[in-house]
Amino acid sequence: MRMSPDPDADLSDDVLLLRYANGDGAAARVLTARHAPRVLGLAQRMLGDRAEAEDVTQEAMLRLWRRAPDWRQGEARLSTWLWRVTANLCTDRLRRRRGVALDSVPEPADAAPSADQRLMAADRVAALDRALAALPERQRLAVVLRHIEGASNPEIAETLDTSVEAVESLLARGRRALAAALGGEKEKLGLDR
Amino acid sequence: MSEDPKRGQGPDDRLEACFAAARAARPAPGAALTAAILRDAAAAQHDRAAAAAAAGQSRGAAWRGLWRALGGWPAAAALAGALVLGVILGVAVPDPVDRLAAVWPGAAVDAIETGGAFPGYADLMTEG
Repeated sequence: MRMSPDPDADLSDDVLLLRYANGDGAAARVLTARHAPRVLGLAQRMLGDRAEAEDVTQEAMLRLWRRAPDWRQGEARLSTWLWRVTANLCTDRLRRRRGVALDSVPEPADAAPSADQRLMAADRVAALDRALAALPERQRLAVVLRHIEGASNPEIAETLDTSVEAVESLLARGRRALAAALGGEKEKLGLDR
Repeated sequence: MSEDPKRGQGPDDRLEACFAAARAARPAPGAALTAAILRDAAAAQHDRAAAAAAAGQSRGAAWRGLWRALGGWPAAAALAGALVLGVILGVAVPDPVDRLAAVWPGAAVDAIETGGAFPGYADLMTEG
C-alpha cells in the first residue's frame, strides 16, 4: 500500500503513540510506515519465510497497538521494543519448527533472473540468508540488527537483554561464521575480484 | 583482516558486499499486510473506546443502584421537605417557652430554669 506524505511524519514515536492512544488513526499510519518494514526485515531474516515473517510483523504491531495506552514516554525506544517483541515471536516459531524435517523449512526465495548485476545481488542475498540460517539464533539476531537493520550495539544489547560486551562477542563470532560460509562461494558470488 | 589484495577482497569486504545487497533488498510490507496492520490498529482503538464506554455505563449503573437503594425520588423529596421545614422552624419560630407559659402554667418554671441555656431565636438576634 502506497502511503501519501503525512504531516505527522516528523513527529517522534512517543508523540505518535500518545496520539494513537487518544484515537488518532493517522498516527497509526505513520508508525506503521516507519516500523513495519524494519520488523518485517528482521522477521524475514530470522525465519527465512515471507508468509511467517508477515504473520510475525502483524502480531508485533498488534502488540504495539495494545500497549500504546500504557506506553511510558521516554522509558524505552520503540524500535528496540519492537525488535525485542519480534525476536521473541521469531524464537517461538523457530522452537516450534525444531521438530519439523529440514526439507520442509523453506529455502530463501531465488530472485527472478534479470540483469547480471541484479542477479548477482540476489545471489549474494540468498547466500547470506543461507549462511545466516545456519547461525545460532542470538548470533543471527545480533548480526541482522547490526549489519542489515543498522542498530547500534547498545540497542542490540537492550533488545537481547544482555551487555554490550556480549553483543560484541556475538557479532564477532557471527561474522567469523558467515565469512567462513561465504568464503566457499566467493567466485560464484563475484566476491573474488 | 583483509587478504592479499592481488587475490581479491578479504572476508570483511565480502561480508560487507553481502550485507549491502541485503540492505538494498530489504523487504517492504505489501498492501495486504499494511492494510491488515491498520485494521488491527483501528480495531484496538475501537475495543478500547468500547471498554471505556462500558466502564462508564457500569459506574452509572452503580450510582443508579445506590439511588434506588436510598429510596429514589420520594426519599429525596422527603429529605428536601424536611430540610425546608427545618430552615423555617429555625428562622421563624418565636420564643416558644414564653408563649407556652400562657397556656401551660408549668412551662413558666421551665422557662426560668432553662431560659438561659436554650434562648429563643429572637433572644439570639437581639443579643447578637
